[in-house]
Amino acid sequence: MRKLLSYAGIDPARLLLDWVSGSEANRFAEIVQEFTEVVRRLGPLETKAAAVPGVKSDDR
Amino acid sequence: MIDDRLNAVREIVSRLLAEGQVEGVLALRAEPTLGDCATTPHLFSPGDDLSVLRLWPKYPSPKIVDRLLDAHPDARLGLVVRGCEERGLIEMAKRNQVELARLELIYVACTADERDTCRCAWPYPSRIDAGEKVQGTADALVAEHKRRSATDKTEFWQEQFARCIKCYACRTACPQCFCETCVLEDDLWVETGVLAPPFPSYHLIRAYHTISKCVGCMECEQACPADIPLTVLYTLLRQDAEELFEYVPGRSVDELPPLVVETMWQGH
Amino acid sequence: MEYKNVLTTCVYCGCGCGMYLQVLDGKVVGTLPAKGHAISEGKLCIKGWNVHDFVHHSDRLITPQIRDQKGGPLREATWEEALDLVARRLGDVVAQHGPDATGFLASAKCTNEENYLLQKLARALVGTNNVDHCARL
Repeated sequence: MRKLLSYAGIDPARLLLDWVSGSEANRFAEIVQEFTEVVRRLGPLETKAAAVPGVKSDDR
Repeated sequence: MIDDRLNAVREIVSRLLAEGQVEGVLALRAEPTLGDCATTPHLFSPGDDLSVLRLWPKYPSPKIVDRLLDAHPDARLGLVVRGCEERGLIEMAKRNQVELARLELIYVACTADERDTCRCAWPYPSRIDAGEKVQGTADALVAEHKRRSATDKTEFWQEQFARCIKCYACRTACPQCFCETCVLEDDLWVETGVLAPPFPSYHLIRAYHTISKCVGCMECEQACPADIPLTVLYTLLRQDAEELFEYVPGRSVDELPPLVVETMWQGH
Repeated sequence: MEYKNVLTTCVYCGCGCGMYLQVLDGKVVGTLPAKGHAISEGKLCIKGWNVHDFVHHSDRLITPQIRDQKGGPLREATWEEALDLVARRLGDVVAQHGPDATGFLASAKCTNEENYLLQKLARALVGTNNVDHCARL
């Protein structure tokens, strides 16, 4: 999946896969907190306005 | 030379039908209404005129034959296949979509022109009954994409995907897309009523789901009304699967897809 | 087993995309785009791809329906009866209020020729220019 993101030009660091057992609540919280920080540092995904602006089909 | 190939196919089809091993042979026939080069999938029955049998342009025959076999659980059919179609059938068989034992395959190698049209790396089946083997070609669009910077890649796909009219043709034409409920119709992942689908959810989800199944038959790309080069993504992922898991879709019916193997190791 | 592909034109809009209806044992079971078709070049939109679904759909009206009185229920009728009724009532309206009291709505799902005939009927026979078309709305 990281590779796929990189082919679309999206920083693979934005994806985290990890295994946490159901009994490891602390570890789960830790991982989420750390990764939230990582994503926050990376900032929002730079997507320029699409060539054809997205339209709701209701608007037609 | 191409005529030799066509004649060889006709002979085999004729023999199969005469011997009565199969109820019919699914192949292509000429469609003169649309011009000299048009074809349509056709089920040839014993006694049919085989002079109308053609080989190109191809149609997603694995998907069609699957439908026929499903409707007639006792039937055996002949099927003219190219390399990609044979590999597609193998991947479908691994997922219980088609019973290979009920098919009598007639193996056809693609010509250089056909290979170039499909930018195909593997334009021949495991065995060749008709035609001559030509070497595969590296997809120039894939090489070009690899040279792009990360920003250019995003920009490239944003422009391509912005043309998407979400017609689902890529999924509908795909012989490997047989899920009864499709995640691409789930509002959670692909918001309904929005065109084009917001970058990059629809297309990256579909790309991800083709891993270990996509054999590069190009039916999705050829069916795309927006001419999005979808298979560039799928080819890159296929190359990764080979590198990481030594898995090549359609190579052998005995090789299990990597995800299945992983799950089995973990005892599920 | 009988399987054939019938070349036809998509009925959904005025584009006229070429498609095959896959007919298996006398039933329309699927759609394929017609590769090499001059207009659609082997492509279809989502409506075209699903066009086979309505053919045998249980909601599809397959006979004309007549409502005998305002607010009453619809009942099935023959084409002959329905067309007679329409012709009679149109005639009544034209006789009473003039041709411009009628209007003719054509459809993108018909061929050019059928639409031509409808406007001819409106203009030449009935005598009104009240002709319109769903694709213009």
